[in-house]
Amino acid sequence: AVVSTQSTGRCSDCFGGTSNQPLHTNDYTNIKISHVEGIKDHFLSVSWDDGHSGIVPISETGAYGNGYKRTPSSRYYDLSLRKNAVQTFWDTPTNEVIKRFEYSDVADDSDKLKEFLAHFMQYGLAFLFNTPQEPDDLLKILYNLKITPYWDNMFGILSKVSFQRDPTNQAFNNQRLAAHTDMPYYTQTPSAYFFHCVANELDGGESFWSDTFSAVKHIRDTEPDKYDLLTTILVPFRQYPKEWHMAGRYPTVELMGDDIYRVRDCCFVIDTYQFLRDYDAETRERWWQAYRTLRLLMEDPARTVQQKLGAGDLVLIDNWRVQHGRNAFSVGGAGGRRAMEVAYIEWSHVQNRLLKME
Amino acid sequence: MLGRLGASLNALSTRFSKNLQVRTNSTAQLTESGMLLDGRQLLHVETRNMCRCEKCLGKHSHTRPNLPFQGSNFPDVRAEEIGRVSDNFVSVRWSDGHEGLIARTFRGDYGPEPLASRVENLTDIIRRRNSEQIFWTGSNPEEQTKFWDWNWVVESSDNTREFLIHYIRYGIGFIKNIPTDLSMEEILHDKMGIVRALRKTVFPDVDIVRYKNNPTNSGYGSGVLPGHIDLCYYNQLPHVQYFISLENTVDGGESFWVDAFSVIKEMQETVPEYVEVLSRIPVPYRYTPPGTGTFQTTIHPIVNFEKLHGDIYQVIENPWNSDIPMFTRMYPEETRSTWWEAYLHYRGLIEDPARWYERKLLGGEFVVLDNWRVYHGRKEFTWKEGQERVVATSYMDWNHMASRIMSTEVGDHVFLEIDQH
Repeated sequence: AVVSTQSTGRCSDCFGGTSNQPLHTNDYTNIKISHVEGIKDHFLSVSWDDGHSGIVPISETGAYGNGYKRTPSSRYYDLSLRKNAVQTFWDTPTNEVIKRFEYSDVADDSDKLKEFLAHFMQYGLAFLFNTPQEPDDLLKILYNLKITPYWDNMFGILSKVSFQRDPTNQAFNNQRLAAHTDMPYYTQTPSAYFFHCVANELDGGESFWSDTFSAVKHIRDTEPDKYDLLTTILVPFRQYPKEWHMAGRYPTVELMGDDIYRVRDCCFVIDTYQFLRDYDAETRERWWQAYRTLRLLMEDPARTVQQKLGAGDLVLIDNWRVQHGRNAFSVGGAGGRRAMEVAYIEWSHVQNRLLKME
Repeated sequence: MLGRLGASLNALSTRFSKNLQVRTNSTAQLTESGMLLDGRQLLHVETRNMCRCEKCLGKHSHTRPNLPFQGSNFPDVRAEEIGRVSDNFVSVRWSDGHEGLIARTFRGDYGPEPLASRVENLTDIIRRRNSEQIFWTGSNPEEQTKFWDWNWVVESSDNTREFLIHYIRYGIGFIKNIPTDLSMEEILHDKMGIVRALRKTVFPDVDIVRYKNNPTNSGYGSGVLPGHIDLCYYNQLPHVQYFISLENTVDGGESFWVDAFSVIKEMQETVPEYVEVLSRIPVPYRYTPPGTGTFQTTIHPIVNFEKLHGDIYQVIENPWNSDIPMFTRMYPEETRSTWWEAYLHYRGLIEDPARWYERKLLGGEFVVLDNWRVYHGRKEFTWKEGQERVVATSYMDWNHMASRIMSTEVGDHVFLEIDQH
């Protein structure tokens, strides 16, 4: 308690008024409170035996910002920390899961935008419709929503997903993409992304999404041995097209305390050859059985939201939780195109937009 | 099993051999659980997921295309026949009717030299295995304080790689004689060949750190900056950090660095119970400078370990962004008391000057830092009219830096040699 009170000091000698950061980082181990003056507003006046007198906050209002800063709602705060207690896991696409938000509403009203972001954090995805539909409009949308900066990555700030011959990534062909999370080979796999439909005029190409947290919870409740494997065995991933090479190994499911925190699962970049060198056959056999159980759940059509996106539709997806995929689509023929644009964003930047005061 | 193998070999002449010489040997055998290949036991499911034919591995992407919507890992498929065995591949037919080939070697799986050998030699380095790292204190060993010459580093691709590997081993790397007329992006991308993608944060992509009155961040002040890790309030801390000293004519302001991994290693040997506490109890961080519209908060334990080998993987700690008021609301007094005991011991080691490497950076000097391992700090300086202390700093994802080490040169297509099978 002694160390805590000194470390929470809010007088102007101890706490930067323009930075909201402590000005000193001393070892206060042997310092004790010598006198308590009393309470005024949000602070307790205290003196310590090192001769210092100052104030200690007794409320959140006092603790944060040198005064009376309005704090975000606890629900928003907990959602932004990805606490399972305020998230809604879904195993069927209810009306609430697929609720659509009007772009002009959220762009013009900060409270409605926060509601949109809170919905995203609660369900792992959220739909916006009637957004601008021209190429590169996604960056303007993010600018208007004040959800920046974006995450620059190997595909650039804005990834354009359309059919390519000789594709350097599976997203750029016209074949079916099994359910997956993006870029698991990154040490810091991107946490969220905006998926924007510019055009979707070809036959097929429906998008689908499923909630891994619901599947993982089911496994935890019914087959805990498999759950343990999914949280402890490190799966190697590797991506090495022309010009770049990324590799890493991570558990399929990561926890924060008891909460399910992050899932990485992209079956088409698992580095099976590396996996052989990391674990013995018996361990791998047990992991494959556990993984199969997860995949059966993720690939169950009854558990997915499936939609053919239209021009102007935008989906915000929690890449640490919701898997996405695509049906095959036709190319060639009389014309038409399928053009999607993707921008990734740090979780902290989405959190920032949800929590910040205007 | 031998009967099945015999049947497999007989079928080779009509199905797999294609008039090529067939080797019969014991390097590939079907087993109940899968395949014994060059002494390694592969599971059926693994063999099917390792197929390297062009239907199963995109030639230009090196990822697996067109997986089925359901059963995307072919869970019930079994290897049924082994065909031709060549230096790098083995032909296989599976129970789903697919005929393809799996790799026997690094080269078969990842492509010809130099990519295969690079994968074999460097994977553990880029994965931050402690066995490949060198922990240090102060100036010991001297190698970690070595200043590399800029012209040598950029003279060749291999030299750049050697410097980056040095950086990974020590968590820090220094370069002298950086041309001060080049931008950070020109240095990193154009000259060193690192992908053009800086990590974007609430600070500018290239942040110029120069003294300010009433700073919105302690880094812009002139006071002491104790050793710290940057941006702990981020859910995902930036990993690679670059500093360029542009000018440094103030009195004081020496920089110093501390290898936190060496501290953790020492504590594992002397007070392991403290390390357990620091890795188990997450601490809240917060960054809400007034008037900036920034509100970031998250929780992290101080040290994270890699689960497979138990390696020290990441340290996250910054005393002036830790949210102690929130900490007092998260845990009971007993838990907090235990944590403070462990933390103050740890912090005492970090703050021991005998562990620091200290230097006053001069203009044109460059530092690359592992922000998940090495603390940086600054001594107080006094600023007078006409003096400057200016540092440019940027962040980058680990994989963008590591890709520079692992990949072949830009434009160099590395296709698998399946046509030679």
